[in-house]
Amino acid sequence: MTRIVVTEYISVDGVVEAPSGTEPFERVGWIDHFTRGPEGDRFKFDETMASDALLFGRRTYDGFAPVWPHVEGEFAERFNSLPKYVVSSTLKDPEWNNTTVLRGDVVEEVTRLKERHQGDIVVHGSPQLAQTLIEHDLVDELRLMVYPVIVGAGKRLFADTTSVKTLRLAETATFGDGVHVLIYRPVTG
Amino acid sequence: MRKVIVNEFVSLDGVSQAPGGADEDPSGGFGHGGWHMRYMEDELARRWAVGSIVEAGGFLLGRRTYEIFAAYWPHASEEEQVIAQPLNTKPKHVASTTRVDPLDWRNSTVLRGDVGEAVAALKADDGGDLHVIGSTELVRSLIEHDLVDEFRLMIDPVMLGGGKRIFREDGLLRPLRLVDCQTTSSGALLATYAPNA
Repeated sequence: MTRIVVTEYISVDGVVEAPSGTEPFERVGWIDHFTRGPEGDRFKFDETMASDALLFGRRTYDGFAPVWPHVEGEFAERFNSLPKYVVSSTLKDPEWNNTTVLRGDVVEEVTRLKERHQGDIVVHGSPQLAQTLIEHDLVDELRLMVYPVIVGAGKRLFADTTSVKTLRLAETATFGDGVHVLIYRPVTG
Repeated sequence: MRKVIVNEFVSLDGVSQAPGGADEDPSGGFGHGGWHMRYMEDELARRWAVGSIVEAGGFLLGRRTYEIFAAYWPHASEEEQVIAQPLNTKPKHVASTTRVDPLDWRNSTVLRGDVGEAVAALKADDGGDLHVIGSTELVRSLIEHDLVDEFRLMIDPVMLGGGKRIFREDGLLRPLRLVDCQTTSSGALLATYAPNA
């Protein structure tokens, strides 16, 4: 079954902006204060090995595209070779290998994508896109790696929605320095 | 030193407004009051919520939460006495810019002067841990003054899509420590965090 999986590094106060890396955010790297341990690494590794495609918002894509092609190792190889989709009305000639730009209506484009793929289409970061997918009930699984920190500023994952969305807590685990993995699925019907 | 322990019912998207009932706090057009109650149908959740109230030395409440509680708990039913009795009898300290003493609910007093200073002074007194329940605005102020020693969050598996939150969007970065976490049969998390100073 094809699923849209949204996977996020998130703080206790719901911030998802620039958890690590070099983005121009004053508090960039707030997950770097903690270790998620070998099980946490394994979780992220398995996630990417099991992905069938990656779906990005424009900003997260722009953050990843210049970096990942230069990373080596099994994880990066997989990440770089997977089909990538980026939602953007302006991006032309994307340079990252195997990227397709989705220019149309997000909901229609994503619905079509789900017909094209067999496994998990995984969204990393991309809060604005994630909010649109949540609003339109297009998220089949929400994976939160909750770091024990109040970031205090920055983009949050959750925005206003037009209705209440009831979820089911499918799995939990705690890794490393109190890094909490929560897996939610929508309650349907 | 008494600890300040913040107890909150929170949705997955971080909303703490009106967990208990429709009329609790409809401000800002909030239409989902009472969202939390279905998740209390669980023995572990009940014990967790009752535990904080029973073990508290006293309570710190914001004005709104105080008024909701003061109107309800003195008239609580027989089966609610396990919560009502400690709430009605233990000292309650109320942060308010509009109310003055005497307050009508038994053993309640208004915090005088600056909230940060008043709570810091209370922490230095004897009398057991001070528990905050609800009181989103007060919680924001306590976080800002680094006065919170523990967060006990019951995080329900629901996204409400808007409402009052306990975490500001313009605060400092504060590392925490995950002290404990349990899962209820209704899929809520009982997560305890402490500041990691």
